[in-house]
Amino acid sequence: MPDQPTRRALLSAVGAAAAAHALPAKATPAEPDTLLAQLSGPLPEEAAKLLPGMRDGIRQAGVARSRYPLPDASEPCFVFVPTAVKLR
Amino acid sequence: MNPFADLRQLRRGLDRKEFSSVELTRLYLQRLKTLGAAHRAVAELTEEHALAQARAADNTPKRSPLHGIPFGAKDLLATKGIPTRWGSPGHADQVFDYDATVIDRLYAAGAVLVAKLEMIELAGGGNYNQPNASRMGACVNAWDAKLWAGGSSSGSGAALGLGCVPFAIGSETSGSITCPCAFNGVSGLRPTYGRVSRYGAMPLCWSLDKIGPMARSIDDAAVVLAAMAGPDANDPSTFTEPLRLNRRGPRPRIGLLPENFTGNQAEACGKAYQDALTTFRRLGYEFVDVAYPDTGVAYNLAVGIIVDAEGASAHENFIRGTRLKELADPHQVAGFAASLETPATDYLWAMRARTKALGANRIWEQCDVIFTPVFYHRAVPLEGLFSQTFQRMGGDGGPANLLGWPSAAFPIGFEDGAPLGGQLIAPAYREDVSVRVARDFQRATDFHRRISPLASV
Repeated sequence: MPDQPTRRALLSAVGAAAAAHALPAKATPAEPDTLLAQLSGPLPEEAAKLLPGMRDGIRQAGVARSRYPLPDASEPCFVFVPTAVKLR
Repeated sequence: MNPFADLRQLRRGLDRKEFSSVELTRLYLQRLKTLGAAHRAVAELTEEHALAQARAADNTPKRSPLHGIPFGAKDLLATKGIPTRWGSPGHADQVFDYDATVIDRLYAAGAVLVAKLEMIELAGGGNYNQPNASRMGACVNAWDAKLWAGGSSSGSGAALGLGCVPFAIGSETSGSITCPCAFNGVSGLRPTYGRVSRYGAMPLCWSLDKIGPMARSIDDAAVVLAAMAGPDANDPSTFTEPLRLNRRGPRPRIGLLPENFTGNQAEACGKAYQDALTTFRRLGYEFVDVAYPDTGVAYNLAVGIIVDAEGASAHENFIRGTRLKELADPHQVAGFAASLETPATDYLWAMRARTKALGANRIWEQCDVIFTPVFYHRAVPLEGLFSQTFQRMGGDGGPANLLGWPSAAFPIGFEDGAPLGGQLIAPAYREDVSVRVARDFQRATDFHRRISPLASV
């Protein structure tokens, strides 16, 4: 993995190259649904009806969690090991 | 031979040659073929394999208390050459060429695998919302054929309640051992996270999944846990802290959470709970009112996000593949698909929130173990969506699974002829406290010895 400045430079170069080859706006095909594009095909009817609610559930979980105080940026990410406590 | 005998009685019968392991195995195979199949508890009968193991057990010196004793395993555990379908129609042809560590250890102890037991497809990680979220349809409760057996270790609970196996293996990410124990009137142990190797077990959530024993009594479950526990190089989450289930010390103090029996119209459970407290008091236990400390973390929200993210990752190939649509519950199809959109920042928030949630360990300054009902009511009906049927069920909303705390689940009473379950939650690494208190309770009561009217062949 390149270090941070190198990676940014690479991304910038990729972005510039992409922009140079970009098609005119009117020729851009309609953007596919990013989730559906990851699936192998259409979902069965009943599941397809439930999908918007499930996607909304994922979004709402994100909204709900953002209402809680966010950890301090300097806090290391959690690696889960159960904590032993001393009983009375 | 009594199919409801506990492990000690079975051991004695085998040691005194009152019956052989082959005879015992045949007894349980017969019950699995009839009662187990009728309740949709059996994913795969392992008859030839079992009889071969039983013959070997009969012809070799005893290796452990489990030598020659049959058992069933949740169909999420890999078993060499035997289908392991994870309860999923989309994995109906899956066969592994190795055994899960838990299976290996039970084989090494001389135990005899008689069946893979049915489960909720992919342990329900896609937000399953109905009892029939399984390859074979809804698993039927051991006590009432109109009720569900619980999940996701459905078949393990039902098979035990019906006397089809003397012990079984289940697994829990968030409630999958305690729920079927409560619904079927059987006993189980959810060990501390890392106590039992998950190698060869279907992952749902690497940072939450636990494998645990289910049995006729907590005593029996403790014997099985001792055979399965311990570090495993194949599962880096396992720890070396020894399991000392017979540790003594001052009598544990029992913490009682605020309960809401009235608001949940749970009269029968309220009575069972009060009766249990009377039993504990008679045994010399003291109580203290406790509440989970406010750590600024919504525990269930964090668990939900972790299940979405880790489940999506664990099953990403399947979700993106052509067989996702074969899952039995459309909520699971939609839920697993949607889980691909879980933002990384949400997942990392949930994982980092666990650091804050560790503040909940302050509760152990007041008590050594927490007693609470698993649910406020008996099992939910086979028909209907959980979003409706679970409305007054309650259930521990605390940080136990998030923090890897162990629990012992066991029957404490009945509601309209079906069992009610209680649980004793202990601090991480202290299964011994849950086991000690639950064992005392079961020595003073007989709920765990009651036999379902549906259990006669």
